[in-house]
Amino acid sequence: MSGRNEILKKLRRAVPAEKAIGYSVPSDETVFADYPDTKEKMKALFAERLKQLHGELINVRDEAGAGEALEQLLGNFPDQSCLAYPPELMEKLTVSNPGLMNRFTGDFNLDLDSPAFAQFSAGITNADFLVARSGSIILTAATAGGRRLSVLPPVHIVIAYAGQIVPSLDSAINKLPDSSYITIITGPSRTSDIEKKLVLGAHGPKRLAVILIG
Amino acid sequence: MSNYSSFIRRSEEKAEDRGHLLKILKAVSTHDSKVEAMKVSQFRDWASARVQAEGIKNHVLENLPELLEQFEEKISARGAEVFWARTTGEAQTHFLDICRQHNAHKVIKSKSMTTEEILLNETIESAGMKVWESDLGEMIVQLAGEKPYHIVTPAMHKSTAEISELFHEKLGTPMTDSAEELTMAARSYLRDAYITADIGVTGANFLIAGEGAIILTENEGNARLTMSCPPVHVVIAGIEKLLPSLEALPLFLPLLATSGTGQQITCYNSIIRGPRQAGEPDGPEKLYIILLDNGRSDLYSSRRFRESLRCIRCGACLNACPVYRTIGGHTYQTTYQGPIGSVITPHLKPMKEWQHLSFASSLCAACTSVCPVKIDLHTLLLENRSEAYSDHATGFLWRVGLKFWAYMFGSRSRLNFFRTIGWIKLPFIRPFIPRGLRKRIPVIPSKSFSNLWSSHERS
Repeated sequence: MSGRNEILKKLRRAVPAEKAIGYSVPSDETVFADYPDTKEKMKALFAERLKQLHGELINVRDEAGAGEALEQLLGNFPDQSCLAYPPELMEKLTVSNPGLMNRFTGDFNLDLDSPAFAQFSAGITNADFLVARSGSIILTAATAGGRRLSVLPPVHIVIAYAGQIVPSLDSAINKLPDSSYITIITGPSRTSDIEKKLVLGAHGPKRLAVILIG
Repeated sequence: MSNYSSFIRRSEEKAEDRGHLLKILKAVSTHDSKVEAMKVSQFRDWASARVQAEGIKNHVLENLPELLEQFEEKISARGAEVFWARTTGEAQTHFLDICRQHNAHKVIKSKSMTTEEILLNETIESAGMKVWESDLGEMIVQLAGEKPYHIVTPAMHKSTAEISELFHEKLGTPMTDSAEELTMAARSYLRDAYITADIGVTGANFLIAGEGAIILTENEGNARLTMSCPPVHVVIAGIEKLLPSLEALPLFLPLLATSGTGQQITCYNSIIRGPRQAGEPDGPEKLYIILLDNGRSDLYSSRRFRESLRCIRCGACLNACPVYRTIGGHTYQTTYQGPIGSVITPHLKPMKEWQHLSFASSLCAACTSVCPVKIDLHTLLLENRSEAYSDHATGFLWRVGLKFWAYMFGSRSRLNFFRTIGWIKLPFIRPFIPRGLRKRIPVIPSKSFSNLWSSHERS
């Protein structure tokens, strides 16, 4: 503990005597030029941004539609090669598409070192928020089946509702659920480390698709 | 060879290396246009966003000890363990203790300059363990046995052809001119490492005091995998990385992404609040945070240099700097290159050995003009020069030379002395022209400006 106390003591000795009073964080509406102010603009901007980022967006009316869209997306992935979370959402999606169930494995509690996990073709998750201004998806370990499901498989499919779209990050940041892991996903994994050339699917998913209900 | 003379030698080499110059100019100009476009399209007013960010970071510095304690308390309450390291050596010891405790052999790392600062890879390897860099750029420099060239884009100096050759030699992949194929080779090379590593190491882009959180920002997904797959997650972060609360992120994440890479926001921004909690299906069982001082409290104790701790490591000042663009990142031989590196390195390491970096600047202030948290970089370079001089860290000749210079320039008549014996001027000036300059020395007119002016006044 001596290191700790010594560092803190040294800093305390140097703390300025006169301090400004607190700090203020500006609202996103005042900072950003592309802040959408209506529901329609939010939805349109989210779609536009996700597309620019090479993400895919499928608009559907209801859960049955989402099930159909998912079946198409999963196309020729082998049976039991996809993992989905949460089970309640998947039940809703499979009501009118029972064939979909074959694609999934029911086990959501694989061991951390299970090599099988890395072999899955797609991870399907819920989202907590969608951010219109940046085309982002916010998810947490609590709602997206932990940390790995949305990053380890080469394809990540998000099932979300139009009502989850918020204009900008500041509308979501204070409402995040209690979780050890929250991630803001903005497009499929990418790198420009080689001569600034954009390549998708560096280490995370190459494909990111959002099925938007409503 | 001293750091100074090897700096001069390397600078000369790089400044004359046309191939190197072209690679860097290409990378920097692609970067510049993206960054400038994003400032305009995303922000109502970039200038006032910088002022806001500066204000929040100043608040952090004014309350640094309390915020550090708050961070420690909040994140510990969620099961993380916090270590404090005064020096590089202490940080290495803490890390090796963690490795021993978990009987670790394999370490996977995401990109972190703080781990470069404490020579973590060398430490891991000399303890007989294996370490993988997972960021593509970092992996390239690790395979090549080099150090990062740039704090944001570590392999900026390597062409596709050079990387293809490197991968072919080290990984046995076929030669290719496709960046995509090379990226996929790196992807498959590292897949196993994520799954089998005993420890995942990351840095931190920000530490959040109010809620107790670690923020990691990236594009590839390697940091997400590093903090998700291995059973132990170790975070190594400087004590200046704090932000007061999560509320600051909606400003700071776009600010960092815009300045760093010209993106609106980077692809993945993760908020870590402890190890795996009850009811969560996966995630590391253990989370350790090593808070590193290593000279930062010295910077903090200096009224003038404290502001350098506002830095969010976006790399904008490197890209903007005409010296960096000419001599390249490796020439500095420091963890942090470019203007911010030249400002802080002499304070993190012995001033005498690193003060020369502050003289490698034209004081053009391009760095200051792009800094998103408004660090007065070029003035701090000047302050470093002055400190080096008063600490007698500069060489004897330089000191005498400066004294003579100050004397001669102290009065018009002394300066005019050379006018009266104009022919002597050139041989007099020649030895003072910096080494390495391959330019022809211009012809000095027979009449100086002050000559012309006084004759103009008379007429």
